[in-house]
Amino acid sequence: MREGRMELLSNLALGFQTAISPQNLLYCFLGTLIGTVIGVLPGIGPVQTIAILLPTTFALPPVSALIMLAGIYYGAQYGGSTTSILVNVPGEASSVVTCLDGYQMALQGRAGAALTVSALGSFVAGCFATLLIVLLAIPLSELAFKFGPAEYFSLMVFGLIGSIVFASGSPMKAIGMIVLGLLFGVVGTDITSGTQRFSLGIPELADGIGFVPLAMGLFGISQIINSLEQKEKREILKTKIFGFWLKKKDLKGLLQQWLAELSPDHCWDFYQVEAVSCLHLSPICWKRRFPTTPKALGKGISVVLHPQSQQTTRGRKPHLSPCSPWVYQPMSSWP
Amino acid sequence: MQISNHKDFNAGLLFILLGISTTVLARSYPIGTAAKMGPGYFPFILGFMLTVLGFVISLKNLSKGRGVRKRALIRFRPVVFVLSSIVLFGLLLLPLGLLLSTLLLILISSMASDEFKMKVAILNAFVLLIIVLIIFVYFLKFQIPVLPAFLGGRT
Repeated sequence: MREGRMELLSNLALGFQTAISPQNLLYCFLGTLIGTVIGVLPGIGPVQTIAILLPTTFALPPVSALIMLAGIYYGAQYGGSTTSILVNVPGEASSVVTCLDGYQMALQGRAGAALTVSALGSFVAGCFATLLIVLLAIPLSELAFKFGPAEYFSLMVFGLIGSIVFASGSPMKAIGMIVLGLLFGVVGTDITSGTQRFSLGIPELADGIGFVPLAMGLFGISQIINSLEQKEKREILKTKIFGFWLKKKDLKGLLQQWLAELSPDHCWDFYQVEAVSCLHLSPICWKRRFPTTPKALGKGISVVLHPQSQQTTRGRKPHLSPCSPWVYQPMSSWP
Repeated sequence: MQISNHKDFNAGLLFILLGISTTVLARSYPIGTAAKMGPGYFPFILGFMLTVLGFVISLKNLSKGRGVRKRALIRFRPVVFVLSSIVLFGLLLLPLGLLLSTLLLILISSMASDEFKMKVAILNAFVLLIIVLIIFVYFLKFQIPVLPAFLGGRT
């Protein structure tokens, strides 16, 4: 146990050594900056931002590229909360709840405080999630070594079922999209017979459709077309944003919230609600069940914080959507 | 019979179309049996499943006049302009070079918007071209011609 702890510390030190090199810090900063700038655009969430910005990381060394992508993801998620608060347009599904209260706070002239809270919430929850990952990484990687074909198959079936369960909208359409995703994976060389399938005689298609172009097309370009089709009415708050510092009362409430969030009770609730696929609404459910600060609900600071923190926590999990890397396998494992 | 939800109904139609076409295309490959699958087996089954799903989704959204939603208008302008600009970019990148094809990409895709203004589009193209040149040519050193082939453009 003691050795394990020492190992953990030395591993962490190694990680920090890699991450804190000036070059990597610069890439992290760049990624977060660009991610926030693009995430602020209404209607573009983290997934689309990653899809659009993936090519910019091609020439970087792997570690820097991963750091930059992580920065982009976090930046985009934070950027999404900015539009939720100021413009009342959620960047993606999970910032819908930030809209509910954040916009109300902005209307009350407390946009600055709302922005600060969502940033703080992102930061604290991100650190918490990272800590969890650090603690679980070694046991998890040991588990991964024991994976054989049967386990991979089960994992993939789980991924496919997960995409249906987590998909918003009708499950039938989700199943349809999964079948379509599998069909996209069929394109290319069949590994058992070596036959070219659906490659239309184009040599580039022999390797199959790459993940990046697919993600760009499905999430990036379709989003552009979609936002061009809808004419949204956007009410933009045209007041000066001030008061980024929180009041004492707010800070006290925040600390209470965070402590409560770490309690096993809440973790269980969090898990339960996740199971019915409306993760981002769980703080509200929780509030309804245990109204510790009832007056805060509806127009208060607490709900801005909660979805934001959960959003960032959730960022650590594999994103299950009909075309996630889990589901979209390059067909090497399919007949 | 009326269509209650046009969006879902159209999604079903799309699934049917894609499903049938893959099923038909997959028949040109040897299908084999479940025990000894040919290259056509998997796509054939998937295409069949997609077709069935498409029918289920479309039929579910047929109702007898009740709860009819307003017809969802598909606006073709963004679809046509955005998609065609990307296809053109792919086709013209090698013969015309990065500069001209990016310019065309941005101008054509800008036309997709109703608020299209030539001045804004050209300004936008100019700024983006500089960014593209800095990122992809200067930093990443992509092996693509910058100038058109008839001007002797090489990377």
